[in-house]
Amino acid sequence: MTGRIAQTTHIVSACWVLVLAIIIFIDVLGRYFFSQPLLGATEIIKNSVVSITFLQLPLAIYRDGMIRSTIVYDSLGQKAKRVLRTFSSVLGLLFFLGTALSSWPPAVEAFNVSEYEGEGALRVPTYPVRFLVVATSFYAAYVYLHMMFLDWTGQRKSMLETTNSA
Amino acid sequence: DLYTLRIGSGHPAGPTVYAGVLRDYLVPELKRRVSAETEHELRIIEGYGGSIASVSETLEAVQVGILDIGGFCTCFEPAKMFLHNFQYFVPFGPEGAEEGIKAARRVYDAYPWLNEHLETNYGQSLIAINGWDNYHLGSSVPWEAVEDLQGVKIAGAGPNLPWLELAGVIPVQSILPDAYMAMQTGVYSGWLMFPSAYFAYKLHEPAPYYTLIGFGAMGGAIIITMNTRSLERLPLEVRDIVLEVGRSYENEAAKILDNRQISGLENLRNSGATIRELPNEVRAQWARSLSNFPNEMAKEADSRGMPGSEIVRAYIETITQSGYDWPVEYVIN
Amino acid sequence: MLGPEVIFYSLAILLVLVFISIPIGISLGVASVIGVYLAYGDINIALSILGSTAYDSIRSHTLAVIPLFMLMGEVISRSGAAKDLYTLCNRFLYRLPGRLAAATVVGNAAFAAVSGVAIASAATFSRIAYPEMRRLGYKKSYALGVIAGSGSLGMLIPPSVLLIVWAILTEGSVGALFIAGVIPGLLLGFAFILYCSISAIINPSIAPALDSIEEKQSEGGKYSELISGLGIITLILFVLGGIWAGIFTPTEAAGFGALGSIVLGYVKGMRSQGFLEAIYNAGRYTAPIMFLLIAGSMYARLLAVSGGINLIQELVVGTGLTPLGLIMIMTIIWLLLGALIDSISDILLTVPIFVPIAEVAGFDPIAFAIYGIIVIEAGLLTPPMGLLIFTVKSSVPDRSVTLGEIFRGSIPFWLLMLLVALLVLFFPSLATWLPGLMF
Ligand code: NA
Ligand code: NA
Repeated sequence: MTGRIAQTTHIVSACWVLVLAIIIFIDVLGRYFFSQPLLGATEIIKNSVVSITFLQLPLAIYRDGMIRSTIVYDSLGQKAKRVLRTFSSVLGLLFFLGTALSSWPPAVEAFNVSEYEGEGALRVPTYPVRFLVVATSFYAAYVYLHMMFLDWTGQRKSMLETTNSA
Repeated sequence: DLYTLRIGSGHPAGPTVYAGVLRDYLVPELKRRVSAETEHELRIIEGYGGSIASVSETLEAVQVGILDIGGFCTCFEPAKMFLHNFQYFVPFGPEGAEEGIKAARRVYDAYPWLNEHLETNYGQSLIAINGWDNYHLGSSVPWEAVEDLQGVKIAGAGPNLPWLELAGVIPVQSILPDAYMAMQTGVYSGWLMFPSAYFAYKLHEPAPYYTLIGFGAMGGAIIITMNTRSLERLPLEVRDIVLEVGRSYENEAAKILDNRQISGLENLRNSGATIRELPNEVRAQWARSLSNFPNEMAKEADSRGMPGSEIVRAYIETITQSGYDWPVEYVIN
Repeated sequence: MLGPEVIFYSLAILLVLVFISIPIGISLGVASVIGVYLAYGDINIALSILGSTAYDSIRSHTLAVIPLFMLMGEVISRSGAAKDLYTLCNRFLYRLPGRLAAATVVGNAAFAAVSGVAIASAATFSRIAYPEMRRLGYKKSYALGVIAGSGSLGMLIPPSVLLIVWAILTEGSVGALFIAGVIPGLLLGFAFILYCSISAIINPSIAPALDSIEEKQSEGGKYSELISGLGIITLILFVLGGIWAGIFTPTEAAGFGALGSIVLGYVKGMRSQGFLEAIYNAGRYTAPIMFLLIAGSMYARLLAVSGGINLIQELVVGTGLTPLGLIMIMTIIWLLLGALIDSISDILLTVPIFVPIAEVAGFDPIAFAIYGIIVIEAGLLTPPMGLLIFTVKSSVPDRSVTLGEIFRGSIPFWLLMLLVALLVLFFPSLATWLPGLMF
């Protein structure tokens, strides 16, 4: 289930990249052939970078795709490795919990005062991206928790194998 | 005792006047006076150019307390500081920055709501205002008639983008530090920008066509605020010095801004930029197309629960009383 | 509440965490939060840097090139077109030892000219060039090194985000700096190619010549190579030319490149299943890189708010060194900072301090800027940490690659960068001659 959700947000994000390419295509063609670029394209592109990144984070964590130096880790025994993995997950969990919690007040404020970017016809509200960061960070924290659970119940290895072949 | 204060801005201190005067005047003056007049010392950590908070994060950084003192343009907080952008709602005002800042100061003094809004909602106190000098339009493509701008992407800070509606441009919201690359590579082809920064940010290199439209100087668009808790933590005599130096910064920075407006234009001319004046009747026509804009924005501020009509009206009246001749009559009803 | 010594504590925490295999981004973030907590004694302020950086540090139009070019790279590599292009290069440049490595340098230089973001180049070439070099039997660290190393060309060959930031901070001309970067950039690219070829001559096993299987390819294979080769070249010309002609922004070019690669893939016989896999896979490599950018800005903020930068200033100014000694200290600081934070933050933090010092010491401002940019980029390759190294690690489609292998492979490139940097310092006309002609 955890993997399924992470995979789903990842697919959404992957398709978002393609949609972004299409938006750019329409914007440029509109500009050259109809003197009418897509209103708000710049703002959409900018905010998409954040959304795309955060939607991909849970799966990147789930697949152990975060970059690390493994020199010490590789030289350890199985038990020590697991302790280190757990410590790593705890820090990851705290990090994303902290990110989610500290992103919450500004997101609520953005919603309350209808914070926007751009002006006139292209006022793009900022709260969707802000809440997306909150939600995906919470989920990333949960993925770390889940990984610890799998690790201590002996299911982590098999999980990695299945997702790698997926 | 030794007190540590952190001060910062999203704009770099060199090319942007308000940040430069923070670095060159406010900080040394604070340190000097506190050291000379009290038993205390100040240690000031400075972070300009967004190294601590970007232009759109400074209000929040002061609110949280990452910054004790922050300088920012209210134009990058179009929702939270909606009404603090009152000067943007009334284009084609006086071209002198000092004049504009003095007018804005009168409005700030007459309407304590402007300070209270900052204190109650965002935990910060106003210690000084500054602003921008006269807004013109620089572009990477030449244009003659206003119709030539149809469909061209032009950038602005935000609240000034509606000024361009008449011309049928595609408005893009952007920030100064991105402007060069964006115009160089064609993300957009023009910028609503004042002379003090146009030359300092080298925007004449990618966009040498500078048309003097004169949307007016934006007094009060820049505010310098201090986290209220940080301010209250300071001993009374230090607190007084902070507020006094804030006021003297306000006067000092206003003058420097106008000097930089003049030298900026000169430097643009000397560096080969193509500068031209917009004919007066075109400017008047432009202003007429925006005659209801102040009223619309005032009403939107009202609908956001802010004293929009009062403050916009007061600002217009203050300018009128100074003897300025508006190119169009603005009515707030 | 502690003073600037906070940076030493946070650095120690950071190094320990990285050493015990905590993900680099998490280590940077945790060290930053602890550092800010020590500086302010307030947990809310400490946590606030997480939220504000997460939202604000990557919200940039320019950074959109990363996911888009990743998609383009993935499609091109899956369609087999990249393989064909490299085979074509291999055939065409068959006299040049280490030809695929050389092709990667040239490709990076061309790509550099458009992207303006070094990590975008490194990420793209990790997807396209690495599998091909491995397929032809190139040694792992050699192939990885050339990709990580030549990624830095992007910051010297215009347009370059770093040069713009530098020029604005020092109130110099951006255009002049752009032009100033051209000769040192070409020089560096040339040095890279020379190194690739010479090391392939000395030790042919690291970059084997065309093997017999490739020679015996059918006519049909050659035809397909030609289509792909021409296809990619057209795509590159379209993307590059579009930017040079002012038709596209780099981000727009990346969008067109991504769509163009899909057309090319279709011509090469890719169908929906293949495209879906490519889109899915391209996504896997963006988040870890962007996450490092976010975490790097957190650490940069810690440096700024702790006053650590003022400490560095005192260190540099207070020592009363000769101009050469000053340069040495600045260089070491740049190389160390490059290990931890991204190049733009690096410039924001150090340039306002270093440039006035260098000016007083009598260095030419333009040459010093180019020197600084090369050294800052070299910092991204300096062990034990470097953003370019991590980018390659997270982008190569080969899980067995270790950070150590990438670092080892990039050491020669790192040395060459420092060499060219020193050349610019001692022969400033390398940087100042071209702008002198034009401005
Ligand atoms: Na470049
Ligand atoms: Na490094």
